[in-house]
Amino acid sequence: MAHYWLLKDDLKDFFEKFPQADYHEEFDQPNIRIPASNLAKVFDFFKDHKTYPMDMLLDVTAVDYLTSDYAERPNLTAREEDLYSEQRFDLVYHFYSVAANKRVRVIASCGGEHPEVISSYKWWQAAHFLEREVWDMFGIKFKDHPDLRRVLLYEEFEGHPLRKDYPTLGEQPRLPLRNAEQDNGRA
Amino acid sequence: MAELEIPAKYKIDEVRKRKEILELPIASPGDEPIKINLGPSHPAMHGTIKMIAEMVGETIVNIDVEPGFLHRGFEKMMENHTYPSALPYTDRLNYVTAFINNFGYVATIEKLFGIEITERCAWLRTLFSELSRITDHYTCQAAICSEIGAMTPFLYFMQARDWIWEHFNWATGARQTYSYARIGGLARDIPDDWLDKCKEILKSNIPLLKDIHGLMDKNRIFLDRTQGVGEISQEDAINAGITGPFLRSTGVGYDVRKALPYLKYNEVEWEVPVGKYGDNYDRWFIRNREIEESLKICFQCIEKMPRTGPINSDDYQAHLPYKPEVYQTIEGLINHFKIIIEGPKPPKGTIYHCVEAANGELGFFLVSDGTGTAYRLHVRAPSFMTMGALDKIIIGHQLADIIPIFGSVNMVGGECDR
Repeated sequence: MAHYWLLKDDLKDFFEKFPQADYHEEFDQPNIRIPASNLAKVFDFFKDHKTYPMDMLLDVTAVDYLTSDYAERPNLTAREEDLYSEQRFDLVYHFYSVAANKRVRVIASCGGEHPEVISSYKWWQAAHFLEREVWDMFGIKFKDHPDLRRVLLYEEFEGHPLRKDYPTLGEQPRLPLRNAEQDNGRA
Repeated sequence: MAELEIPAKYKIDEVRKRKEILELPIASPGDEPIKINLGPSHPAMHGTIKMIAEMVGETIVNIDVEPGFLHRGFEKMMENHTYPSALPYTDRLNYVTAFINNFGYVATIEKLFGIEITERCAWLRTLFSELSRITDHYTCQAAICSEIGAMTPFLYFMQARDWIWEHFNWATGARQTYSYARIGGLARDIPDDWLDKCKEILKSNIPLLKDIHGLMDKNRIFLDRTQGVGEISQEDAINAGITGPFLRSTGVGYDVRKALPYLKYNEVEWEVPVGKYGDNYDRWFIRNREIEESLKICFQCIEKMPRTGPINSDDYQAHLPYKPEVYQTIEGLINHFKIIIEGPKPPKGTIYHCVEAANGELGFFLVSDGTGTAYRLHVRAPSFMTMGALDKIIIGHQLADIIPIFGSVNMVGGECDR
């Protein structure tokens, strides 16, 4: 299904503009790795592209590479086995162009205790819940997100469960009952 | 007979004199908004969504949609189970279309391995997916009807759905959560004359659908509750990442079955119905049309399907060998144990595979590290995206409009909360 994805030949103008981007193909699907500092420019580029306007943000998710010896992520220097490694997380964006029926996957690495990257909400509203989920599960913060709080878990939850250092059988402290004001005070 | 004594304070003149009733506070714009909690224990919220609506008078000025009440850590669980043993969890993503989730999940892994499924398996998967889609649309439509107050079409839909579910039971042994797929095939072949009976059942659905159309499509009450309510424009829907019938109701003909054909969808004839206004009525209408298209696909599948042939691929790297081989040969036994204990080991890499679930694009994003367990599996859930856009749709409507809007977007807690 190679032709449903934007491959290297379709992306010539992209690599002219972002020469530091790395291209890597797996299972006929492109993986474009860019520095997290370039995200805003990449969003601009794809949103207003003439032939392939990426008008839909299909998915935003993250991968925690803490416990992995899967160090084959291209364009990365030797990985440190470190909680606060700069390349611990991969943020994965899937874009889709409804008009051209093409998809593309953009990956950006980030790290630190609570990494902070730019929010894509300004370009795609879909990012509203998706980025809240990434914050909820991975503890990655998004700059300029209008309402960054947990979405699937509750506010008092300690830790971020999809990080690899969160124990599978981890327990959470019991909470006192909420009063009515707390219960609907956050809207 | 003695006249019933009415206590003085309940006499109408007395009541009128009472200040608190005469001067009921009536909110006007400019008043402090009143917060109203809806759900999660509200029948229309499926028990899995809480909404906090801020009302000025009768109008909703702000709403906070809180999913997560059915969160069970699906993605964390997938990191601790081998590929075959994680399959039953995918049933619970969307418990009304468990087949589509099953097939989407195993197709992702098959793509990792490069396994080709057999002809008969592909046709069976297409047929089961479409039957599933019909039952999901039935459920959604039935819920809209009953929530608006129409009990008769609800029962008709439920009856039709149950015929199909009982029929699934015959083939798979379960009504809802089948776990019927296997990597590289299916759990077992369908019984003899299952297909013929299936055709009869689908034909008997058609008069029921006709009755439902007669009851609902031009019903004044139904039109008032649905037309012009919950509208969303094309641009907004695309921008919010909405897919499936919801997006098609706004006039965008995006359907994964056409855009990225998988299984046998490019070998059957069918159309993608689109709407115009993107309101509740269009969503109702699109789902009805999709039921018809799915029926069409089902009939073609039954016609074109090879009646005999293997259902499992003979690629033994991922699926269990047949039982006689396990019991009689040492290779079969080792193969069986390796797959059960360590799990099938796909090559390393990152893959995204999507299928058209009943609510939109259901995507599986999988990072494999070469072991028998996924390093990371993320599900792109269509319901989660619609929940993210719901506040924009609801704001400006009245409280009572939440119910048909929420019904018509067909949120499924299992996949939204994962």
